[in-house]
Amino acid sequence: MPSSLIVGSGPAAAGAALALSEEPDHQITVIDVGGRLDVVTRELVAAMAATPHETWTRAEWGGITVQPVSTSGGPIPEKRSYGSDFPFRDFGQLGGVQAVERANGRVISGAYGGYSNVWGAQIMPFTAATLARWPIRWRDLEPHYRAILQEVPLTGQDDDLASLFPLLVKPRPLPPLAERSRWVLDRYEAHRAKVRALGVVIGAARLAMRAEDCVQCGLCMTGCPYGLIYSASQTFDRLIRTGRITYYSGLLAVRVAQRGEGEVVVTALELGAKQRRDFTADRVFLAAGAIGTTRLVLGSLQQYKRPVALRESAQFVVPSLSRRPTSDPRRLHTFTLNQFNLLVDTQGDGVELSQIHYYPYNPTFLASLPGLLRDRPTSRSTSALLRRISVGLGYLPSWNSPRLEVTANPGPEGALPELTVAQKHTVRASPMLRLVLTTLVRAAPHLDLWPILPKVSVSQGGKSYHFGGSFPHSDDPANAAPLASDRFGRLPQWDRVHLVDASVFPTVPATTFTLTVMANAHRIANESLGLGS
Amino acid sequence: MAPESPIGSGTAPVVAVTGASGYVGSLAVAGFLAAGYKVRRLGRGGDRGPDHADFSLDREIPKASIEGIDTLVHCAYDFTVTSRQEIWRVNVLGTERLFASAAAAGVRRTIFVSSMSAYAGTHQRYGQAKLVCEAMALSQGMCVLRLGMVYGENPGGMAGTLKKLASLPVIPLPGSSSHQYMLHEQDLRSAFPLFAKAEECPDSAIGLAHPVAVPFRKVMARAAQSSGRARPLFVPIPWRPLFWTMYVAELTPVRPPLRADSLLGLVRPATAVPLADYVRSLGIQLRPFPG
Repeated sequence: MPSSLIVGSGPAAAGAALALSEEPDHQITVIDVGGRLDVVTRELVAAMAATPHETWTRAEWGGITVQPVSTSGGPIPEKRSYGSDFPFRDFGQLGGVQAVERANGRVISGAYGGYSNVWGAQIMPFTAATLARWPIRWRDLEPHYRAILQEVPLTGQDDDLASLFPLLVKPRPLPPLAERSRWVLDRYEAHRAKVRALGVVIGAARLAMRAEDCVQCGLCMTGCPYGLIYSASQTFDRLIRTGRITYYSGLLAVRVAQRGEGEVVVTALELGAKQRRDFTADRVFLAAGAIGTTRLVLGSLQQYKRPVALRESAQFVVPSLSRRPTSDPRRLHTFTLNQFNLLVDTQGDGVELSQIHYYPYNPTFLASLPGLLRDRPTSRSTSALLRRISVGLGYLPSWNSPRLEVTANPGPEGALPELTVAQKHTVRASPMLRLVLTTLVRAAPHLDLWPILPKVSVSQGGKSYHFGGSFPHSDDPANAAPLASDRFGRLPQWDRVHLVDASVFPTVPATTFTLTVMANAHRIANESLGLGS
Repeated sequence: MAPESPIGSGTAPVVAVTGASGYVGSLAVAGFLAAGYKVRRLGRGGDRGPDHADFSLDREIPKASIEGIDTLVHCAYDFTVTSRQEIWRVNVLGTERLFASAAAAGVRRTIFVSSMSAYAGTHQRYGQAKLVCEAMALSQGMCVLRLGMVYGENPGGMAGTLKKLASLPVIPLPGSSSHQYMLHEQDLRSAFPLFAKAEECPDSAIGLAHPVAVPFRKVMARAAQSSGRARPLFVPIPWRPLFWTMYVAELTPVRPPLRADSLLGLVRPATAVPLADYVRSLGIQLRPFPG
């Protein structure tokens, strides 16, 4: 029976597992660090999910809602999932990782489901024009986008975004939008030609959520108690439950080796007992996250002391004010994920894009206000401000963002290598960011969405979590410099080891990332089935 | 002799052409008719005959205009609007509406007729609008053709305008060191049905022009020659003052023969013809510019 081993349980691993599980005779094993939410909180969430949200006690609310927390070195706080930091916590996978030069060090998730436990749940494909610059083209990925969207629930609507980002499947309708979101979308509709002529396209959010069951409790950003927001862990839960995969947690893969042209051996460290275990399979799919996979590969190939560049789509926050106030958003409940997307197509070619996700009010807004206003939440001026404020979370494409650089050095015997993560330069002066902000200012009179320019902040390196490209797909990996993978995610040194996460992305555009991570992993795994065992 | 059905089914496939009364559109119509297609001309007022259907870039598209067609060729572009906002309102949003209608009607192949003026970084509004439409077309798996400057014995479009200018006693030559990529109208006519029949279209724009850049002076000399002027007198002039003069003139009721935006396309051309190999692989032989 052909066998495959998947390392990791995030979105890329889920994409690969979905493709492999379509073959009934294929034996699939998954090894994973597998960090989880603590049992007490899991039980609390389960109990809350079994009851209407109107009946939840204040203690129950407080038990699972912790707002994003400021971390050292960056202006953008770190999200929490049901009050827990488990998606970012070091379960052993971060040992030996050192962040320097303004970089974020928590760049490898050890959580079951990876960073999809805390993602923004925004799903759109990359544009065809973006993929035209990759060796993997739109027509290669389209069937895999569709396959993933059979697994991941898509909520959204057919609007102007569909011209560049086809919907691919019929979406579930969005829950009612917040007053501010509706206002901006109405203004856009009224001034569409003027706004489009500026290179701005706006459309409603496209979210990986089961919107039909949303009760609008307002807890999307801190963890949906009803589990309506997709996480890769949901796919693995199903595949484990149906016996389609064999899953082992508590294991950190430390070495990959291929025996000639034969089977592949993955050595893993048991995180509790510190014992080593070897797993063998016909093929191995590495999905430990772009930096996790990079570290594992560099150590296995003993590629030390040479900096490896990664491409990151830099993230920025742009608060905005509107002239027209809404009702006080604190009194209203709505879903609190991103509600609409604003795209700035700086060249009009569907490639040089910046995407900004706008969020409705959540308690982080109040916490971010200047002290005087924050400390007097019921004052008229605080209310006046909250009734006018929106926050956008934007991205720049990797080719207009600072690079991340990782360098591996030999670690302790039998362990992963030491890894240094650095950001090479700041993006604050990026010409593209300036152009995007200028465009927002020009569009502001039409949209009544005025960016507060002095408050624009750019995230530290590695904080967008949209990074990859350490082993980019290439048509000619053997001659591409310096480390490149073929269309099956294989490096020249191995023909049965497939890198399936964003480490193989040639670029990281500013548009949403996770759907393409899953679709490309699905494609690689699917195509690898044709390579035989 | 009746033309052979291009797909051999016995029933001629139907192609709809927007801008069918324009220079490029009329070449498309002629090319498809010669290849055995049934042609539906899409234009304002659909009551001009059984092969006409109602279409306008600035209005909703009647469902009946687009239903039952196999191929859509979108040539229409409204040159009467000049402000960026109006160009977007009419040409970009109109094209977006047309593409959505074509997708809803299940049109098998849509060919978007773009221009070599469309390239990333262009400052020309026409080129920028075409580029935006190209990105939308490619996102929906459509075929995008970037045409070079189409010429022939009695050309329309830009070549026709240049021919008129070339009949002046002294011919101004802005951007004298510039170049153009040229496409003979007969080659374009024959090429259209081949793109309609191609198995797959590439996922980036196809340049349809002879790949050798032709100096602008040579283009004008040929235009003068076809106007009966064997020894034309050229006067190179700096293009920027001319551009601004034309730009200001367009703010008044005066309508110069050449628009300022078109001048930009002449003096800042694309640097190469994309996917020339793909065009050759379809068996399309493009003739070099004479002379």
